[in-house]
Amino acid sequence: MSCILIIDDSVFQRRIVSAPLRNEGFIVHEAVNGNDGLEKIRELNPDLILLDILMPEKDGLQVLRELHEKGNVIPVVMLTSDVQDSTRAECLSLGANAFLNKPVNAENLIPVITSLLAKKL
Amino acid sequence: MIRITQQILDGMVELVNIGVGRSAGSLNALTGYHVTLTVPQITLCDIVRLKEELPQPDQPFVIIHQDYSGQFEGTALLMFPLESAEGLFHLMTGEQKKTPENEELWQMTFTEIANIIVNAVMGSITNVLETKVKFHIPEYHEDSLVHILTDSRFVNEERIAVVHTIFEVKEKDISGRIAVLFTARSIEAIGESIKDKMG
Repeated sequence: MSCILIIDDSVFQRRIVSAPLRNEGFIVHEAVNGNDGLEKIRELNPDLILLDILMPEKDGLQVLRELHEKGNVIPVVMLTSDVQDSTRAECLSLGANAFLNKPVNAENLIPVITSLLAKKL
Repeated sequence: MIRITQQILDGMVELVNIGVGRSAGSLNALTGYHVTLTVPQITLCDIVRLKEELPQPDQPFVIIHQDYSGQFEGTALLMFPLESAEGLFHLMTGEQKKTPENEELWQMTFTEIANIIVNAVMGSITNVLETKVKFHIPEYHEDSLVHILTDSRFVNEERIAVVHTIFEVKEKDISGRIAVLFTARSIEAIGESIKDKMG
């Protein structure tokens, strides 16, 4: 089963996102900020990354930029409260594969994930 | 310096109204319940007078404030009376009440709700004005509004605008307040953008 890494500083958000993914049978790992996320990407080589933007230490845009510079091939879904068109455009230009606004429910999230994982195969 | 006209103030209220509408949609998606809103009110004053204008300034609230900066700057506040905060926490997490063991989850729940709501409000405004602001990490407090405003980095601003609205999840007897504070420089920047938009 596919491995998904959630990078989000909010335990509340990780909790509400990870539960439906686990119910769908995905293996879910969690990282609590950008630095932790980059370390877990190296360690786990996940099939897909769910990436928050506003985080302490290293934010999601910095993580996305670093991944982009390293030629990342892992699909990245931005999962953020930031509804600004300019932020969406910036994330997509930095290689994000999808941009979803919080709050996201399973009905919206899971089709995006399965579609990206299917393209990867 | 541009003159702050009633037209500009009406424009600011309408921008916040659009944003608050989006945030109500977010809160509806989070809770699963219908959310009602009051029409936003705008107050143009300094912080000392603002403390006199806002309801229940000395009562303890769960308050989350999130600063934003960029072409315009200020802070946005999400405030819940303690009973409403407990009701919302139960609704969101299933936890009966706040305990030492779930303190982190409690704070993270409210900061995340604030993050979603504040971004919905401010992001809608920047999208309409075709600009961008940077959001700072939300901060959690259990305090009176008077203390929060007195400690605010905007305390010395001679003139601020605050747009304020109340939202309710009536079925669960939950209510809260959203207040967006704009500095004088921001009022001018938004005023210019509104004038440009209106031609």
